[in-house]
Amino acid sequence: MFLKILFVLLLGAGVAYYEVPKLLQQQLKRELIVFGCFLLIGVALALATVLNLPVPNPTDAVEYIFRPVVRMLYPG
Amino acid sequence: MGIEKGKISRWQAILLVSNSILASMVLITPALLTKEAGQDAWLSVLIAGILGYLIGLFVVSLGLRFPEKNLVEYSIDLLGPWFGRAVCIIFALFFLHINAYLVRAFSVLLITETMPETPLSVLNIFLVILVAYGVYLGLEVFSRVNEIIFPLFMLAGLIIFALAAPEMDFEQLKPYFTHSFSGILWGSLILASFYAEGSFLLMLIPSLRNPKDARKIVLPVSLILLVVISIDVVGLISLFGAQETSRMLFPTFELAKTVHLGAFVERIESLVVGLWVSSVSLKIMAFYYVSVLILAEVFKLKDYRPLVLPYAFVLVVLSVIGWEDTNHVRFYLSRYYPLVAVTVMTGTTLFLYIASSFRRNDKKGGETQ
Repeated sequence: MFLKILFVLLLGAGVAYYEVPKLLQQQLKRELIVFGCFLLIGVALALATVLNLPVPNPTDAVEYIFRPVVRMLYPG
Repeated sequence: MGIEKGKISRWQAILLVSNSILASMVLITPALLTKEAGQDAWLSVLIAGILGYLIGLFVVSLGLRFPEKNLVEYSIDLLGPWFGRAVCIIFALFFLHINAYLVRAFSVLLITETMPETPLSVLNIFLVILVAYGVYLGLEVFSRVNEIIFPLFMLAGLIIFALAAPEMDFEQLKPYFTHSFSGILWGSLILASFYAEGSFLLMLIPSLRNPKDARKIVLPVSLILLVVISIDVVGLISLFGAQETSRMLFPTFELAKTVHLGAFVERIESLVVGLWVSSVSLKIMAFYYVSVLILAEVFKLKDYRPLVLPYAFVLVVLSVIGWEDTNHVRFYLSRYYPLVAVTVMTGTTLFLYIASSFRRNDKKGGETQ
């Protein structure tokens, strides 16, 4: 468990270390902000998965939305 | 002008779109089709071929109304900054979800067939690293790689089917038309949903060397797909029978296992796995690229590359947690996915098409000619 958390954090730090200096050098503020938000979302999702916390699952959402139609087409 | 400066030729686009539809279709759909339509699955294939051709023409005719602009630019023009972006984000998220099931299908194949001891997440992480690298290099690079890989993939498939042909029994295709028409239609809807994935071409039209060529892409792509998937389905049914095929997870792979020539050419399924892995990673690259490009355009970035690596995290997580087990993936693909794909893809395309028709009558409409 601990190793997995460390792995995720290291990967996240590695990605930031790779991208941020390039963006800072080119003075791309907008890119930096969007990149930061995406990386936060990504690392947070990965950490939640590693820690077995509930993660919003798009498949469930899709199945919830389309269930009535599928029930209609496939009774039972 | 969009973000992408690279250009691809018409031939590269044909191969890229064909590969992006075929890679998963060839392996996954025969089992789903024969479950719905039994030995009449070839009829589903024909119906889906026509449907797919129409979807393709429709998608391209939307794209060609704005040959110099990509999806995000003209949906913002048509629907306004907020609503246009929302539609594009739906598109991007949809491709994210497709990618998640593709990554999952990849690791399911490897785990069930070749590496049963390896954990799912490890395979997913390695595939996504490979794919992210490809996307980082850009559109031109992976279209060129695809130009080499896709013909090899087709050649290997051809050889395998030719070697398996002596054992096929075409009587298994009889009796004709015994399954309900609704089953056959549902089968063709499953297949059409894979065709609908081809609408990622909307983002590539401005990157074509000559955008007007887009219309000439549709027919070759539909023909390639129709020929390959018909050979696949007919071959599988006549080798295993419809019942047996529908119970398999990856029937095309099982077919490769049965091939033997003399006493020494055997177990060539590892060749299939190798080529399929490269082909499916190219497919994921294409969708990954399109999805990241849409997001970058939506947020008005100058480059899509900063988003590539964070997106990889989300992709790995979704591919691991998205489905409980292999059965769930299969159930999702046969029941929900066709509806979702057809609704989202044709729905948004239709919506934009109608909006652009209204716009055309305005005074601004003259520019779009």
